[in-house]
Amino acid sequence: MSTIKPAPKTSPLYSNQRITDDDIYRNSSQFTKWSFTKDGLQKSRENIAESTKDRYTTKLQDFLSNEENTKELTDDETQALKYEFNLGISATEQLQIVTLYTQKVQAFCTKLKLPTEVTATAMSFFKKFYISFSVLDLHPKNLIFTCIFLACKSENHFISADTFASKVKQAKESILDGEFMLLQSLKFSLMVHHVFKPLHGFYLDIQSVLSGKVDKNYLGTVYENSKKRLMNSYLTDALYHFSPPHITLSSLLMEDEQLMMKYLELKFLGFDPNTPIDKLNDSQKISKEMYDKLLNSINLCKEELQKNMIPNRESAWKIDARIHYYSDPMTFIKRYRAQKAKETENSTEPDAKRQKV
Amino acid sequence: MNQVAGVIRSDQLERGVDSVAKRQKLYSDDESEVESENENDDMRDIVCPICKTSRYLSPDMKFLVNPECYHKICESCVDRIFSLGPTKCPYENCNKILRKLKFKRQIFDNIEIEKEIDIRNKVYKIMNKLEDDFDTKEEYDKFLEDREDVIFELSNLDSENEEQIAFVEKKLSKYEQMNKKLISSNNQKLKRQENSQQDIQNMQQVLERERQQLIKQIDEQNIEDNQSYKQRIIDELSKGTDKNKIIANVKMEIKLKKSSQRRKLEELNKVLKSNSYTHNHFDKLKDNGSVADMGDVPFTPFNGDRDLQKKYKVMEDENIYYDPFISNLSKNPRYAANGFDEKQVYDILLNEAFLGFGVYVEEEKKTLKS
Repeated sequence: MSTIKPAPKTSPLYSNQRITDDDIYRNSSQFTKWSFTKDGLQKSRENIAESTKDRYTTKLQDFLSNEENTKELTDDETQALKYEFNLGISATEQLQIVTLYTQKVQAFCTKLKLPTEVTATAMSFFKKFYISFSVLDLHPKNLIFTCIFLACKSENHFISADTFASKVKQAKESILDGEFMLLQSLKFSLMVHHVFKPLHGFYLDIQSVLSGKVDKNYLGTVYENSKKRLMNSYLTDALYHFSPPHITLSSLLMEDEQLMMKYLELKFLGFDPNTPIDKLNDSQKISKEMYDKLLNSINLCKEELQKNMIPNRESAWKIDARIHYYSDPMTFIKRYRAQKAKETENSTEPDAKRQKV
Repeated sequence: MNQVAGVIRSDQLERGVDSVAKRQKLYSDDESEVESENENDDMRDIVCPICKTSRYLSPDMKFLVNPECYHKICESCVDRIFSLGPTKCPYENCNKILRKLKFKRQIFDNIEIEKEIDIRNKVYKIMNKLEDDFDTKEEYDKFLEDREDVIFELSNLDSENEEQIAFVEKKLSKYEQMNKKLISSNNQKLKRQENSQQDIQNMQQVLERERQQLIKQIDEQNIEDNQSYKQRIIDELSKGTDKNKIIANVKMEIKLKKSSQRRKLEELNKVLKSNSYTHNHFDKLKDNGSVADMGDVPFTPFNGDRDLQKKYKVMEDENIYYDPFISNLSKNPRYAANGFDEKQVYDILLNEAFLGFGVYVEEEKKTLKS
């Protein structure tokens, strides 16, 4: 009950109360459950990283205190193991690896020829899961298909579990097992207000506001490019910090700044933005204030969209390996030994060759 | 507003718990014998707890209850025990004095419901103010709430809380004394309303019957006409002049006859429609809908109406929007047949574009937190 906030009651009768579209968005689960301040989001991610750290340090201690494991270890190996566990997985690293796998979700969706909105929903589900869970709880690669399958269902694009499993060549159980956990992490709110319909809407509105001043074919290419750009916005945190129209506007702005500034001016201002403030009347001042606020938000969103959290190959591999080691320290030892063996082989081989010569 | 709703909800919850507890108690009480046999679902096994006559032996047996204690007693027992005047209830440990006059048939299986409805009827007769008697809707709502409270307390309080019941009953009688005049006038008003509704229903039935008759007549006439039509053509042709003319003449005659009857039917249909209660009801709704500023709006989930001022305007001009995808869809007969409307799609898309346009997440989340 506390989350529903109607517009202020102006009269004892309901008739004078008007609910704006903004109020409707404020009541959506996207706003109530899945919108955060930047600090808030960062904090919850760090909390997850912190709790994960406790988990794998105790795991290491258990491993080392167990005689069966340690009796075969050399000091060298123990040192290396301790060093590896000391590195940890920070909140940023988790975000990086999750973003990388989110990109994989997108790639799989394109391969399966799923509609845009299903793809976007799957990507946002995937990212949301790792706000409340750690990569150690469930490896990202095991969540990809569960996400896509659930997104298909929630976006009314039905594929039966059997068909889906055979299409992606996975066991049906492995897809369905994680579903409840995923739903739990999504707080059971599956509605995602996407940016594609707003984009289409703005495409139409630009035509009516700038009618005759813009080439329709050119606008079409702007639309298509923005759509691609907006697809990538699901790799960023934009949807947590901005409402869909703002994200759409900033992506359009990135596409053609001149066109969009003209549109925004005509639509929301109606006069030259460079007029000095003392020459404006009161209503103009208010609309100028609103306009500046909007521009500010759009520019902040633009920064967010330009952030690239995808790690390079090498660091991605390192993080991924660490996830693997932390869930089972023995795998690290095996790997370490294999590496050592390879190194000695490499150093001895050239000698052997020389002798032959 | 929200708080009030919350309070009411928790209240209802408690009530739910109470009544469940009570019901369980009731099952384990004096009625257990009858109830358990009811559960068998076999009607023949039902036995009157007083005379032990079973329905198997006397299929006409009826059970009666008295609103004093709601104990089931069969009809013959009631005749036997209470014909000499008021006596104690024959159930063990029930010391209520019952009168034969007050016995009635049980309508609902569940005694709790039967009891509540009796109390409800009783309270409704006393606390019968109408909406017109109040200045504002809030006051009327408060009155309705009070009335429900009284009903709830009377029907759900345990017999142990006799003091409280007595208190509520005292309140009720006080109310009755204070509003004697209003109560009787309102009762009359309600009766009149009921009567007029019944009149409407009666009239509808009469009209409907007439209509059915007319339809039947037309059908019969049709069959008859078809037969006589063939006969007449043969007769006329045997006299023989211009055969085409004869056939045309006969056809015309029958057509005229038919259409006069059909007109009658149509008229009757019209009368029936305009008189129908449901039809009037819908008309009223339609009238209200067109008035933008309704004084009394139905419930809306957000406690208000949608803002009608949009941040955009859908262009009326045909070719203003260049959108090959959607305009192609509207040309596709498969979509057009389903009522696909280009303008509606544009409206939806534009609406989405400005949904949450004025929401600044960062700022609002911060203020929400603090």
